[in-house]
Amino acid sequence: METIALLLDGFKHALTIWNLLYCLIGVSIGMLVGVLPGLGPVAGTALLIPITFGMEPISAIIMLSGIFYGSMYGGTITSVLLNIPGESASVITTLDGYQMAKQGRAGTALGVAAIGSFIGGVAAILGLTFLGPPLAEFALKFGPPEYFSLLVLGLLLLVGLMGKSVVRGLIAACFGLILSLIGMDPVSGAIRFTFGQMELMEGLDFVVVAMGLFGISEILLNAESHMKMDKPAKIQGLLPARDEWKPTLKAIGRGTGIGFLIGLIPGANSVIASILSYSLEKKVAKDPSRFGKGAIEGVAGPETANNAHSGAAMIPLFTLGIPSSPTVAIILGAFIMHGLTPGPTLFQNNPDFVWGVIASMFIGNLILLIFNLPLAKVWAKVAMVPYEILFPLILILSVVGVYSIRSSLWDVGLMIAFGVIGYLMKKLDLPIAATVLTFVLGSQIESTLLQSLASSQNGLLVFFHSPISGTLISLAIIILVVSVIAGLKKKRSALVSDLEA
Amino acid sequence: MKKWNAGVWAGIAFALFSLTFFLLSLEFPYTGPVGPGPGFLPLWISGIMFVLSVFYILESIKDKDGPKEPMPRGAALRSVLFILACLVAYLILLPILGFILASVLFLFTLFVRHYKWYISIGAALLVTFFLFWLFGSVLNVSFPQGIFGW
Repeated sequence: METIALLLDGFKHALTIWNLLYCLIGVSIGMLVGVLPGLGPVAGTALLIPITFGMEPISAIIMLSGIFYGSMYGGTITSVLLNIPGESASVITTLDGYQMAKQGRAGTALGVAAIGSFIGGVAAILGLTFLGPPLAEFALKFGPPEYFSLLVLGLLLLVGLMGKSVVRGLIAACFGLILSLIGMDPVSGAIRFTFGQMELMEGLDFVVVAMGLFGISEILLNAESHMKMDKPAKIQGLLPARDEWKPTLKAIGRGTGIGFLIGLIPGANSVIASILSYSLEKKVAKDPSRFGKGAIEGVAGPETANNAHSGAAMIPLFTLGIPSSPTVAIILGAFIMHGLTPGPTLFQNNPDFVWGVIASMFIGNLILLIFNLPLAKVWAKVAMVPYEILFPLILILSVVGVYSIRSSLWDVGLMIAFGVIGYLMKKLDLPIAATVLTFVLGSQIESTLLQSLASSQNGLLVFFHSPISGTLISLAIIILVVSVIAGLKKKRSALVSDLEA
Repeated sequence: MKKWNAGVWAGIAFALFSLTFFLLSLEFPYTGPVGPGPGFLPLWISGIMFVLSVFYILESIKDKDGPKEPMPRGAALRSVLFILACLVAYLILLPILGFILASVLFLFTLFVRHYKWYISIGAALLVTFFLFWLFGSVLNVSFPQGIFGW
């Protein structure tokens, strides 16, 4: 009951004119990011961070999280109409969604995706509403060893599940961690690895690193091939046929469950959720051969799952302060920038903030449902903006955005350099997601490790002293060993090569 | 001699990167007043990364197919380098020409490859002044002014 009162109170904050406006801006940009090729959710979120400087923390996070879950809706439109996934979680939707469009059923594909997304998204936020507070309570018992173990587990899950090779995943993770060490060490105050540069004293800014690795690199990658778009399919009739409702709703139900559960695991991302949902739908279908030829469940399930995931991914962020994907990591960075400490104390210390943001996510999903059902045709037009107009705009926005953080051209140069590094990493199958996550979590990893070891009498064994930390670190070791063995036997089938959302 | 694939070079680059940080880490105290000091984590992580880089090099030598996406050649490579060159030139020109002139030039160069020159100039001016207004007036960012003072 108390939860409901708090949530209603949250609506009071979320329903102020300004916060409604920021929510609308956030989800609109999310849709744009999802619809437009060349601008992913990481770069989109990072781009807006400088704009939030003067804003209240609650408004800032309402807007930034709107981009995150909004992009999940937007990505569907281009997947279905043009066979171009707007973001990585919608890749799987192209399989059946584009086929449906070819059969003249683009409207139906978009319709079920929007309905599924809404149901999955709202269910996940309900989960956050009711599971968040008890989980945060539980997480209050966590000391540095538990946190460190959880961070390691999350990162190894990410590395273990992605990419062709564990070695490359681990290298990418170490790379991010080393980059995070540059600048003043918060524990001892020592100034490390600045090479005598004043600009490096405060460390590398996470917006600079994320914009370069994800934003600029994407533009460079797209420059190689001339982007040609076909005329999109016509959108007619948004609802499925009468006899399709039952299988569709079942797929949506299963997608919600999968997306939610995957969202709870730190390090597991929305791409995994949508792929798992797709393969489950294929398994339970009476006639699996329909998949790939325009099966409606193949659109409804994964699209629901990635939205349920994006809602559920807020649970580890709000209760533990641990991001499950690069985009969430960017939001985490924004938390810190606005003076909030993500983690279990957030529910106690900033209840207005937490519940306001949660309430805004209900509102945001409702706006997105309207965007995607009656207004689907408008967004399909937006998707047709020629890339030749788009990419110079994205480039100059990135430059101006990064410059505005510290009024520093040095940062702009760094962003360009990270753009080249990100481009090369994509070429070489090195998962950028691992680099960005360890970079954002770097100081947490170091401080929890050092605090654990400082309190320990027998070195690394401190991580096995408490049952929680012992279980987490054992799981992490098992995941590492299993993925190394799978790699050696060459049986490793990569789930996804890299991800953003 | 067999041609090395790009992974080998990347492995060597990472090995050198981690080696540099490993050597730099030795300058910091390994232990602090209580427990490990500021040199502890950097030393271990760069050490581990160095070992991983060696594995990466070995893995890449064995892997005959090379990475999934080949490095660009010909027109594709020129296109990537062109955008990079524009970005670097923009960065260099910003403090010299000032935000407005440098931005118009930057956008014009990118637009004019696909659109008529007068459309490109118009679009470049429009975008530049919009950003100048949005960031300069609304968000109070002070842009580089350049030698002309604007």
